[in-house]
Amino acid sequence: MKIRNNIIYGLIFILLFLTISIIFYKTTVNIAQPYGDFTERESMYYAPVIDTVYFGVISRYPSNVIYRGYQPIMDYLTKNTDYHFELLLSDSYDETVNQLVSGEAHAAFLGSYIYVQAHDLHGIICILKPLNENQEPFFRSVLITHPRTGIKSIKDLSGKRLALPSQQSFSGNWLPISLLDKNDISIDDLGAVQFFPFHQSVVYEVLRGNFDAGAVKDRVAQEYSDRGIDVFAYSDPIPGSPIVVPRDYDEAIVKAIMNALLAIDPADPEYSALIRDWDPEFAHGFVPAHNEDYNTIRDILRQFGENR
Amino acid sequence: MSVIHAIRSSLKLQIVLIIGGVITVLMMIISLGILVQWRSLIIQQQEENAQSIATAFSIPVLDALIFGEHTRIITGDLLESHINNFRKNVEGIKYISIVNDSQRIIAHSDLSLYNELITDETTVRVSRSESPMSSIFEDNQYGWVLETVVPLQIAGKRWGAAFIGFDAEPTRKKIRDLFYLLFAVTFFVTGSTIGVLYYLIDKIMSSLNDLVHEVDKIDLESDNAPALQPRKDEIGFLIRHFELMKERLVQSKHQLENAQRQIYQAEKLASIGRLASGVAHEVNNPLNGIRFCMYNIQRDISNREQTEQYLLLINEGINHIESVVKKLLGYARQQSRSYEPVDINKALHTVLGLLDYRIKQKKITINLNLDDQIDKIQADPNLMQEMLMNLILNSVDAIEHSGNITIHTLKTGDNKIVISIKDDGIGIPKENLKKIFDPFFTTKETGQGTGLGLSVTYGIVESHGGSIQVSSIPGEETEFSITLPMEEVA
Repeated sequence: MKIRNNIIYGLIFILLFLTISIIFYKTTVNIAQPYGDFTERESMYYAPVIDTVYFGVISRYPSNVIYRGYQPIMDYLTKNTDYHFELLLSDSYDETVNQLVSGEAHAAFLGSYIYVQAHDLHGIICILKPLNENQEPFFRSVLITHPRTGIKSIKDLSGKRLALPSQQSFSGNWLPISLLDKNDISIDDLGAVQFFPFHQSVVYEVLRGNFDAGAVKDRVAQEYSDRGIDVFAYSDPIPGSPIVVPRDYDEAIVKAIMNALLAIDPADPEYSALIRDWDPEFAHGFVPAHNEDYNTIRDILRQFGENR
Repeated sequence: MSVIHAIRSSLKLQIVLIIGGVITVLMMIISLGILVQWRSLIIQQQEENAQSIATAFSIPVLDALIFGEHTRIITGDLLESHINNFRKNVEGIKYISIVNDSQRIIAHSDLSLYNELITDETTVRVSRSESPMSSIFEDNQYGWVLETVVPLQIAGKRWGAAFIGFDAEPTRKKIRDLFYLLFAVTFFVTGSTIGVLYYLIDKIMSSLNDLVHEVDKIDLESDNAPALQPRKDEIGFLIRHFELMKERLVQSKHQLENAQRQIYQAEKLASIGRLASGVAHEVNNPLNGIRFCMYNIQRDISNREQTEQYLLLINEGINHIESVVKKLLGYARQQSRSYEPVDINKALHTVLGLLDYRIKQKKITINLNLDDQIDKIQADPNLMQEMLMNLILNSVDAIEHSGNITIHTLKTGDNKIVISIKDDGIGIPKENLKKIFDPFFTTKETGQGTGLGLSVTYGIVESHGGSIQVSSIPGEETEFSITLPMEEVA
């Protein structure tokens, strides 16, 4: 009787334990869970309710790089003006100038060299130029190499292969050639010279060993400084790549762009967080640009032309 | 009901149920806590993995879309190729879907879905989220799926979203394995704990049972009762204290017996005192006769025939005195208790003989209705006489002037004898009936009674394994009935 009772109690215990366990099992292995709460953002590109300002960009970088560095600037302008800003990419520097001239683009990021040409030919007007990390409105072109080449100075370039960015960029064209001239090296002394569409392409070619040296903007060289490139020459300070508008610009748009971008104070934590994802060239603020600022380039061009 | 009764009546079961229940509940809570925590971690880890993979997948997709947009090249083939390569190289992917920002499918691992418009409200909503998100659900076609959606977006520029469905069955298997492991651990720990608990309690209970059985064997009558086996644990502690208690009990018993003996003797002496007048009368009458005979002998001492007759009378008187004194001495003698066959009827006659004077003095009629068939009982003869003396004296005292005392003896069918002593005296008030066997309870005047008679009688009956009952109608009658077993009391 006692044993029977004990067996009954044991069975009751096991039954209870199993029942609870089965309930737990069913609950545990049912891992279904819906999507959590999230902020749904209506795309500004598919439902613009305000005037769209198309912002051209010269093809100094690949499209995806341009989107990653310039799209946040468009978002900032959209948020801080009464306009909706959208990037207008191009395949070449000239195409961006043409977009401005044709009215397709209301404003654009141009290079310093192409601006000088566009101003003289089409009356393109510069309105803003970026500051560098020292809060100066300049940039430099730099010559880069890989340590394996043994190049230490411009004089070592004799017989070496040189990679350059677009012929319509200051970095990729006139400045390095001018530097070569100053160091008594002619183009013919070089082993090879080739132009590439983007500054990044120049860096990759040097890293791959296809070319011994290259010329890029200082901000690009800085971006790849941890990939094993050496900078062995710097240009003089050059006025920064300007933001430009066409001759028949819309004053309201220009005012909106200038007000929004001049308000940026990189020292202010609110802005520093905001511009963190911007292209480094534009992540230190802006100052107003004037056509005369770019006379430095005109002087270099003139000098090169005289020497040539 | 029987289960509840069994639980209530078993301390062992109660302890096992309570402690076992608490352990079970605690183990289940702990296991459940671990299970919930680990389950959450497993799912979170799988979601993070899925989102990392989906993000890695989305980067070239995004570049392809930008490239396609910029170069006006149709990127569909490129995306399909990327999807296929990705599925080949990453295990556990059930489907991949790329939708544009108009919620139209522009690439899918199932090409039949190409260009379909997504209409499901939730899918449309999550395709617009700004960060990677995950959901787990059971799908009719793919089974358990961990679906991750990653936006194809750079800052505010959006091209669409990529949905990747990962096989969630391995995740479920991990959780299932974890459940089985915790279930086994819980069951084993709980079961073994309860088992050990049951064993220990059973051992304790067994020791207690042994103690109880040993206690049952203890005979306070015998000083040679076996001692319990000494132990070093708590049960041994209990046994040691029980032995001490037993010694105190034996000691108390001896003291009680001594006190009882003294009380019996005191009461006996008290009753002798009450018999004294009767005894004096019994002795005095023959003495007067002897004095008369002596006087007549002295007057005519030469009359030999007369002298011989008077000497016979003197001898008869001396014999009578000797008989009375012998009875009194026999009653008053303090003897150690001894059990021997006692004839109750004969004892009754002896006691009545001692009380003869007082009975006659009060003009009491004794009605004897004795059963000749009753056998002798095993009892202490002195205590039996004292018991009968106390009861008959009580009846005599209850009758003020004249009355009747009826005495019955009877043998019952269950080998017992019943002695009934009934008087038609003053009776006992109802409120005193419960007190009359208490020591020193008396309604008699000071000096007339000790209040110990009935108490002693009760003790004698009890010590002989019998019982005593009293019934009374105040002013009419009182009857004491004593039932005694005929065999020797163990």
